[in-house]
Amino acid sequence: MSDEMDEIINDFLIETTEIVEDLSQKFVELENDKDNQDLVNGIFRSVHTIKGASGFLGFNQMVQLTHITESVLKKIKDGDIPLTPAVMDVILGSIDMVKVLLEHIKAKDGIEEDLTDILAMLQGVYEQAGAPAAAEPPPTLQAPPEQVVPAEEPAPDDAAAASSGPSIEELDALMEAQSNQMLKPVGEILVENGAVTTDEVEDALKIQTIIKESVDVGEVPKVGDILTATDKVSKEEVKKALTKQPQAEKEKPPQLEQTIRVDVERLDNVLNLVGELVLARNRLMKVVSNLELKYTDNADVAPLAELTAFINLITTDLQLAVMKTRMQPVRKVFNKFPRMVRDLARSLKKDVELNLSGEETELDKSIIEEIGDPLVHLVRNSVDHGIEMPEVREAEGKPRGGTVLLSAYQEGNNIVLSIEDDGKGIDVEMLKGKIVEKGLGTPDELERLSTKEILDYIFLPGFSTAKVVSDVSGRGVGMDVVKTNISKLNGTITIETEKGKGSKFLLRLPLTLAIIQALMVGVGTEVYAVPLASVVETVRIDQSNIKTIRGQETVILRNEIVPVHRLANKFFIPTASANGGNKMYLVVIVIGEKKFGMMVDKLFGQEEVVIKSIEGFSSSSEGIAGATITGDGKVVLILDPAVMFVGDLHN
Amino acid sequence: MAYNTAMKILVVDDFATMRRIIKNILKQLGMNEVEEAEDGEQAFKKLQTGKFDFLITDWNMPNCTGLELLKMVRSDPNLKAMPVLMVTAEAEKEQVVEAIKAGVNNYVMKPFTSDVLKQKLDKIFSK
Repeated sequence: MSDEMDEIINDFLIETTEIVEDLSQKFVELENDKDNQDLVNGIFRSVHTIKGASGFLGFNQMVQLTHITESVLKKIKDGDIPLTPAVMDVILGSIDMVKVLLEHIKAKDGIEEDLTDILAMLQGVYEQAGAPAAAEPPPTLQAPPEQVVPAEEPAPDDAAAASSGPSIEELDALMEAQSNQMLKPVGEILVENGAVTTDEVEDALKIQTIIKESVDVGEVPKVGDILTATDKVSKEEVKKALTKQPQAEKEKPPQLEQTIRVDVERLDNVLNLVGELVLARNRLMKVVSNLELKYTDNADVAPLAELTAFINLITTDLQLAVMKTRMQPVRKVFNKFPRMVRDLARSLKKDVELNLSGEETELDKSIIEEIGDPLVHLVRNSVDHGIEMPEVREAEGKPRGGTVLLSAYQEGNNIVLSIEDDGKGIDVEMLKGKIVEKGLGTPDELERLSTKEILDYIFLPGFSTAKVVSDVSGRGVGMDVVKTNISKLNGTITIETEKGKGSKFLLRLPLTLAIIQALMVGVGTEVYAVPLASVVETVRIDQSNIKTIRGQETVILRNEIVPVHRLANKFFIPTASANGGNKMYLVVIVIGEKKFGMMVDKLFGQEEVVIKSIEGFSSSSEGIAGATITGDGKVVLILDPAVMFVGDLHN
Repeated sequence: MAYNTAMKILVVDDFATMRRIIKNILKQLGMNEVEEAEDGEQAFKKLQTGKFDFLITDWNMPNCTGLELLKMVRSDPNLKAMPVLMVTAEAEKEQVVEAIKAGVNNYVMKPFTSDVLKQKLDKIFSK
């Protein structure tokens, strides 16, 4: 029983959390579209729903809070309270408190919040409504009645509502009068038709009850059937009576529930197992292809190869299917932004509209969870540093209100999230000054860099373009942290900006984190995996192709100078590619807008690898994204070129 | 005649937790033959299969409200005798009058216990 209760509370938490997330967004929409009655009704219903369920579950503080919030909303709905920003602040405050209360319910800590302030504020808003009292006294601040106790009597708290409508007694009386001619069972109709007596029907009902109690499941005979079976009435009479009764269509297959909720842990477990399966499949394929070469004549090899190809296919499909179970729409993350932008704009006294697009785009759950913070930072940044004050905008011939567009869309194997504003853009010249000032580069060096490369400086640790660190954006978290977080997700971030027109931040993220396509490369006797997403091409080069410019080795690829880094040096492996020599390979990698070559001894080809994190190993700083097991059973490190060569990129 | 615990019940509410709570209360009364619907439209489709003996519906739902559902049920020749219990909140009393006029068999106000629900069932099925 208590398990059942726990499950219901769990459901309540999940569902209510969804509603509350949805609410924040609806409120912000409402502020811009005050006359949208559908929106008001929807909001009202949501709060009403939370209140209803909380009542059943005995969450008294929640009932108390949602009750008065609901009353205020009703006034707004009826047009008695104008929806001013101040009123909105109070309502949003109450929604915030709902969230806090949900946290307590979740934590089962039994802590009671002090609701005095928020209740008083809501009460204040409620009372500010024109011509109150007489018709409808304000909702009381007292705690609602003990909810678990049967509430046949109207609760004291209901007094307000009771006075506005008929009393329970009146309703019940009306009920009585009205419902006398309702439901007529077969037996009754038969009696009315004079086919059977009341006693005979009673007997049949008794028989029915006995059968019902003795048979657990399955068909319980109908009263009519019992009456005919006991020869009390003819089948025709029953048929006649049944025509007067609602006709039941004969047994249709039951409609099943379309969705089930599954514990994330179980999904993670399945994903992990599929990962193992992919690894085993890779090994199997390698073994079979060896066998095929060795025993071409053996009759058993061909079917084995065929079967392996089949397993390969199924594994790929299974992997995709499992990945899909973990996909969630980015709406989950996007939903918090309208509220955030609204609050932010208000505190900065700016006029900002946030538009969302592509909310239904799906991303792996783990990415959804990680992407929140970087996005918050970027959106804050756009509102705080991007969008100008209304007066400034007006002076520049722009509309007073700025716009931030947050969108998501799929692009090949990536999901792109973009944060675009029509603000002042980034002043590249000013940025250059800042770079020099911080000692991160000389004017000379900067002259040679493209705009994109200069913008990349924003992502260096300790770099902030704001002259005054505001309490909004400069929270000690810089763009470098954003960049690091995105890199951790195997994603990239780029900036497009035009002075006076606005900026656009583009995040490219993989669809999933667990399984990636990798290029297997060899240095000496070691094998490494390079995420294929960042590899653009591979080129065979000789030592003679390498030219050293200002201490940096480079090669010229189709008239483009590409800096070269030797992977062997990173791992201190004495080998050909470390010392020079012939027949080396260059893996050309693009991270963001930056292109560079990574020199290796051998290329083994493409393989699908399952990323396994290495416990207790500081991977990111070392440029190692994880490890995997290859087809031949070897443990191989997966490189993170973005991190591995990031230091070199700016030197 | 009392209600029987084997009857098939359709519980309609847009809030899944509420459906579950009501189901749980029905279970306490020994009634396990319960199916769910999210709104009036879905409920009406399910009702048309003809396998339900009793309808418990919420009032305030998007798309198709409990009252609209009730009216649809009452005007359907096959369903018009379906016993219907309306779940409301105390703020919706005005609407209860409407529901009674539309032919609801009884109403129950949130939150309610299994005892309260039992009384309502006794009333509905004693007729």
